[in-house]
Amino acid sequence: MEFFDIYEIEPSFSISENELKKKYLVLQKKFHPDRFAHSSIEEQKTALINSSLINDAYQVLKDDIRRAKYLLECNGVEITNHTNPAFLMKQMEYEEKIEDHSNDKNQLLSIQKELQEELDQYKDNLTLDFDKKNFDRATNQINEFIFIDKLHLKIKEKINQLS
Amino acid sequence: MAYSDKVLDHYENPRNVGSLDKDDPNVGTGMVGAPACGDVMKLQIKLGENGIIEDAKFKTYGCGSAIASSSLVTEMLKGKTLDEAESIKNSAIAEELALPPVKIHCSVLAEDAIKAAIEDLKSKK
Repeated sequence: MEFFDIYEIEPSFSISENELKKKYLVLQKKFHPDRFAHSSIEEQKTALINSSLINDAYQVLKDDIRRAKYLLECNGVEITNHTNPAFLMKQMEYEEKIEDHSNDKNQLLSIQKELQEELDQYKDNLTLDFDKKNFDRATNQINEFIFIDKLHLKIKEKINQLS
Repeated sequence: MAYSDKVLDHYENPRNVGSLDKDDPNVGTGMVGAPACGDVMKLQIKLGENGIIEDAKFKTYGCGSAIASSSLVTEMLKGKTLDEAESIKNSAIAEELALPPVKIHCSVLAEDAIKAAIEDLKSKK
């Protein structure tokens, strides 16, 4: 849980983005390689390592999907690609709906809203799964979350193209 | 990255796009997906009285290579027995379409779809 330790945040799926960002800015400033320009080579090296570790940790922690995968990894859980066929069927129905209404901005916006609600629901589920250490369900939830997140991005692009 | 002519051909003129009745006892449906790329693939096969696959349909949302892999697979499946169908390897698909290494997983997905469709069909018997 090194990444969480760096930021002194309790390992969990639900974290405060604000708190993370604030701590990131403080740590980044503290270990910025420019501040060590006149230090010994050894100190410069340490600062560089710390600074890149701070950055890597931030990139993982601020992203829902990467944070969830990191938590699974730290708990020794292997992420499989298996996705429930019924869920995939529903994904396909979403794709068909988007295809059928590709020029109808209002319809696309309402599908986008539906997807956003699903994403929020998945986030709640993931918070619960990680709190209860139900890693099997978390693995399954994160796979489905990735699918819906991709679809959500795709529909956002389509809406932007229509605007 | 450039697609091979064969991928483009299947992508632009996909064969056997569509659906079969998933409740038909002689129809097997395979649903597979790749979370990393968001691809979703549905492959359906229909078994004739003689134990030979008489029809195959697919519907895929994904990249050109995923569409081409599933399109090609529907062509390969027709006229085969289930045992023959089960022995189709992703390497044969990748080779036929000249898929680059980064797109091999699309052919793996197509092979998984065949296995899932056969499994679904067998579970109905």
